[in-house]
Amino acid sequence: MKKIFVDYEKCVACKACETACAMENHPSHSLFGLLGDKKTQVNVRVLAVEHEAFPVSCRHCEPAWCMDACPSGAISRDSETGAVILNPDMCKACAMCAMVCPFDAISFKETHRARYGRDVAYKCDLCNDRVKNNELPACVAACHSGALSFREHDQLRRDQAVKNLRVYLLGEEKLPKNFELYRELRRKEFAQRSGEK
Amino acid sequence: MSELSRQRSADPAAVEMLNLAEKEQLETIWDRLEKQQPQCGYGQLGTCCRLCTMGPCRIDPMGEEPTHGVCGASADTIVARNLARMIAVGSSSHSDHGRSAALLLKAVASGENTDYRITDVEKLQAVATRLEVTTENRSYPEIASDIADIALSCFGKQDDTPMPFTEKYLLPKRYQLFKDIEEQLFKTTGKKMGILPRGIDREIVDILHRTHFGTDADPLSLMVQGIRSSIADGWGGSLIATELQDILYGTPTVNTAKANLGVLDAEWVNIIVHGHEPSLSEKVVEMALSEEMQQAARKLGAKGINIVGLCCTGNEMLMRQGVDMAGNVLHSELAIMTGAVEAMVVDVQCIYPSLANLSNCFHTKFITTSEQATIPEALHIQFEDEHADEIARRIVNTAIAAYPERDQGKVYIPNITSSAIAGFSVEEILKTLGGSVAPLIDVIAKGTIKGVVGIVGCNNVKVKQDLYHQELTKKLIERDILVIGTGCWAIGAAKAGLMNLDAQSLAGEGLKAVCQQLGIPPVLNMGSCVDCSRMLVLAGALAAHLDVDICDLPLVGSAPEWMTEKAVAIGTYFVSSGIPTHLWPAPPILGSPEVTKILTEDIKGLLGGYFFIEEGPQAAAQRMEEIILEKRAALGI
Amino acid sequence: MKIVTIGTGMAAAEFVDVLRKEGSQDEIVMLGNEPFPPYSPCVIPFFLAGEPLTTVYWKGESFYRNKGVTALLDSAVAEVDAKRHRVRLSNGRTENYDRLFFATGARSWYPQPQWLETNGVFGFKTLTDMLAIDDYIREHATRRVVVFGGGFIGVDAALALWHRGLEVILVHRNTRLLSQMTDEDGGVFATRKLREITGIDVRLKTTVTDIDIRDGALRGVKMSNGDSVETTMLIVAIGVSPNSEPLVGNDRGVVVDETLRYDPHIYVAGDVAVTPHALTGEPAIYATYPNAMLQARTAVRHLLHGDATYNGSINTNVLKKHIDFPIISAGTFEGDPVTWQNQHLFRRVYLQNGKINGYQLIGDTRVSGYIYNLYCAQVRVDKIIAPILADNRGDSYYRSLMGFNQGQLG
Repeated sequence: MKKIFVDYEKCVACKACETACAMENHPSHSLFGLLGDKKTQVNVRVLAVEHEAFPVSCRHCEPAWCMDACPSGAISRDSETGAVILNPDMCKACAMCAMVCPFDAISFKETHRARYGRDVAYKCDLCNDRVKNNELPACVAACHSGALSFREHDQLRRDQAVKNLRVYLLGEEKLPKNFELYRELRRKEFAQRSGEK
Repeated sequence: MSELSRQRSADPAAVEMLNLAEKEQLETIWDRLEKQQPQCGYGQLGTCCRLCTMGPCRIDPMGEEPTHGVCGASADTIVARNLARMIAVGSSSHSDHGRSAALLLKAVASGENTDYRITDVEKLQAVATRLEVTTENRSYPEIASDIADIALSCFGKQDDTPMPFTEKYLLPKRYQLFKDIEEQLFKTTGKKMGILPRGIDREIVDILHRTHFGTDADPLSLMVQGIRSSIADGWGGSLIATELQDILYGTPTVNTAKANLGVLDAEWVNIIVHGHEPSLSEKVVEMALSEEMQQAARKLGAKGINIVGLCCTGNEMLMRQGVDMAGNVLHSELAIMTGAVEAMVVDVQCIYPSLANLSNCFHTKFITTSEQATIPEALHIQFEDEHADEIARRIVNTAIAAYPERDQGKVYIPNITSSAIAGFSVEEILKTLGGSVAPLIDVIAKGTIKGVVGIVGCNNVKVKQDLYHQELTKKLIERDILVIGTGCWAIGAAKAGLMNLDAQSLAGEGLKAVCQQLGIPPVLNMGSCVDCSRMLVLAGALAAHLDVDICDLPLVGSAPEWMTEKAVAIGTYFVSSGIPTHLWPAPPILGSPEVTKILTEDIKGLLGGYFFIEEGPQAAAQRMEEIILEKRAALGI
Repeated sequence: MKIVTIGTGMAAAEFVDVLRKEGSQDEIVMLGNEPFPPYSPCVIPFFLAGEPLTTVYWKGESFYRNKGVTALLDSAVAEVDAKRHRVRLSNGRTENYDRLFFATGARSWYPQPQWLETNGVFGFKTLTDMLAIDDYIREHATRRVVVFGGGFIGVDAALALWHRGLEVILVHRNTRLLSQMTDEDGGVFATRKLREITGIDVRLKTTVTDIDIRDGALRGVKMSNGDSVETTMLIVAIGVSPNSEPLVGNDRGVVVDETLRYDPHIYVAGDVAVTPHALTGEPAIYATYPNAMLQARTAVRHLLHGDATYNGSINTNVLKKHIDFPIISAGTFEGDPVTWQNQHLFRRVYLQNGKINGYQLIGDTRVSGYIYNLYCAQVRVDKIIAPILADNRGDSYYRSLMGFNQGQLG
């Protein structure tokens, strides 16, 4: 089953993934439709850790602790895509799922899918409908810099093994020089900010 | 909690206030930086193009698709256009400041404005001489009127000849070099590219035009126009601002004042003037110090009115009036948090919009005055030159009226100040040297002083406040390199005690001896950031005396905590004037290998100056010394 | 093989569900003392707040049919005859079994059981309770309720009825609400915030001592501090006790072995089972949903494959109902406290030998998953816990993942 992978060195922190996710999950499917709409649901966020930044969202774990913790029958796994899906109609926002998720991937608010006028849990659904239509998840499709990819885990490992050999033998696959410089300067800027000279 | 504050500022007064902010949960600019993380890399690389609505477009920094914007613009084109626009904005802000000074001088000369007067007739005559304005048998207003006309023509003239201020002030060798480069560029590329500015407004509008959709896509010609615009600023708009303000308010002379938040006084009505243009603050200071106003303040139980400066308006007041300095731009929020400020009066540039809402947490009146800089939630008192006295009186009265509203329980003023000597205009430096640059050239030639580094301000919240300013300055004077500078750097250096005579002990033996002999600190405050023009004039004077070009002199420029577009313009006119210039943080150009190469390498062969990036004070000082030694070797000294 | 479950609660439903998923074709009989499909007790208060009854049936309304189960409902169990492998129901009927899954759960404990005879006095534990309360509020247009008991269920009841729009008076004998889930500081903080957010009238260090009855119906309550309150509705939620009598003859729960068995043919799970704590070994009833799930699944594995062991229970719990203000608690509050708090949040862990012994996280869930993992893993955290508690961006897990606080790791 395919999963979303993050190559954090390539993340430019442009947050295109966040915008694409918000649009995908908004009834209007448009950027202007979601402006100022507090019910907008964004299932991915670009997190900054010192000078690095990368998108984080649900990892669709196996086994999924959130699913085991849900006492209302709201969380299930799609057997076709492997996506861990949250049904807002059943969710009582009791936070049992969030209490055990180490990735802080589950949030609460009244989204457009909430039916009872109160908050519900929401999280990434791997763009399950898109994936079933052989489309990429919206965040992956939106990523300009190649930081996000959607692929089989085994395939990724095989590719990396081949790549590593090629890098080893041919010195390929380096980031462009200026981009390396940019990353390096960012690292220094942050090191300086936290008091290291 | 103090650990975080200590990471944010090297200034102990700021650390105290940041601790307070954390305790009282007052949001600061540092907190907002955290909330902005992560910041978009396309913007930082300069490869985000928002110039038309087919975009916005971004170029993949990994060299993969997309490699071009919708219109076909490459990363090089996009970065060059964005940078040119930054220079245009920077040039326009300082130059517009110059325009106000010129318009005011004209109004004073014609008698339309009687609230201001010509204060420095010596300077008036010096400028007239430089501009070849006849002075013989003419009244001061007549001379001033001609000077103002020439200045105004620099903004608005439409012919293709170089504008008069640049022509008259620029070192002839450099003037010739610019002409030669224009010819050379035409010869080698077949394209007409100009360096000598025709008019300030024109060069800025030219950039706006050529960066319009589907116009100039060539990184080289975009950069050349950027250079032209920056020269229109450094040898034009900024220079006009400095020179004409000296005429109107007096050329700075050496004086001593205190710097840092401790200048606020819990028993007085405290007024802070903040921003850049002195026309308003000169009047506010004058009014606040009047017996009438002092008495009004005493009537309400205060000991009187304590007026202090902040940021570059503060520098203008410090340089000319010896007004105490509350701090540089990163102190602006912290000053309000002392709870002891009745009014913060601002004009233009570098005013955080956050100050309005922050002031509303206290009794502080946050007063905007410029039609070009109004801020929601602020109290706006419209300033007009022609009614300056009356408006200044209203402003001071507003501050006094706020005093009874002060909650003394909220007052916390760090008891920290440093004494600082300021007022080093070019004229004052020459006076110190006995009337000529010769003694300075002499000690440089002997190697007692190895060279001069000019540093310009800003605080950038991404850099620990003042740390780079302080460390770089100390490391340079240790190496017998004289440090001069302006803006928020100057305030940082003043707060750190680097601008008093005690700082001589931090200098190397040679520099220390020279400073002791002249009775000056090893670090000289030349004014506000618009006064970077003073550094250019000084450099020109040194070069002229030696009959060399500026790029031959052992001079280096630096902007170690820069953040504004003004700084991009300043950096570019330093480089264009032949001065290698250091920057930290890196400007948003790394997305273009071509532009990066032009600005850090190719430009050296053309103009003698170039940009370099160093993230640490130690490495930067080292590199600066190497550049200076290289120049000295070339001069054979 | 005939498999009988006593109980149709969450443990029993999961047990049957997993049995069928694992391919068991055995005859299954489920015995329940209420007339409903399996429902989620965590969810039922939302029915009172106006949400559809169907959403309480967490495994679907047609569960018994879908799973091919014979459901004998509305029939309380009187006794388990473990020798004869036989269950006797209170209506006299008996049911034989080859394997018994004993998951009878717990029931409300009442200090004055006779109060329940008065119209307007209710427990707050079962779907039957909820339906009765709902009917009562409809019929009497009830405007005010007194909830006696400020533990998990009492607060749950108070919030549900507040959500429904009733004026709620919450009476609790302790110095703070949720006194079992919190320590003094955390509980006081949580109580203050709950008051602020809901406006519920919380009366601490007080008990309901008597009820005022007129014409067989409730008219008011008297409290230990001498106050009287007019009300037509009283919820009593001051404690629960496990339904272990049919098997062991007392209400102290059923102690099981590591295979969750009471005897070779009887598995016990859920809120009636006494299991060891996974980290401390302390035997007790750890009545939370995830424990019941794991127990049910372990029992299935053992029943079908004979080789499963139960590694113990974790006592984490969260109360976040009807308002976005979660109160999370785990472990025991002994050791060195490390606290971080601001106006809105209170976070405290107790460390023993540098490891997390217990914690309270009140106000949000941001760091709860990471701390839960650190607690379960029992790694030393004394050098890194302070910034984790202060984390308001949710980056502390990723920081440690990327080695940014490696230097601080003991």
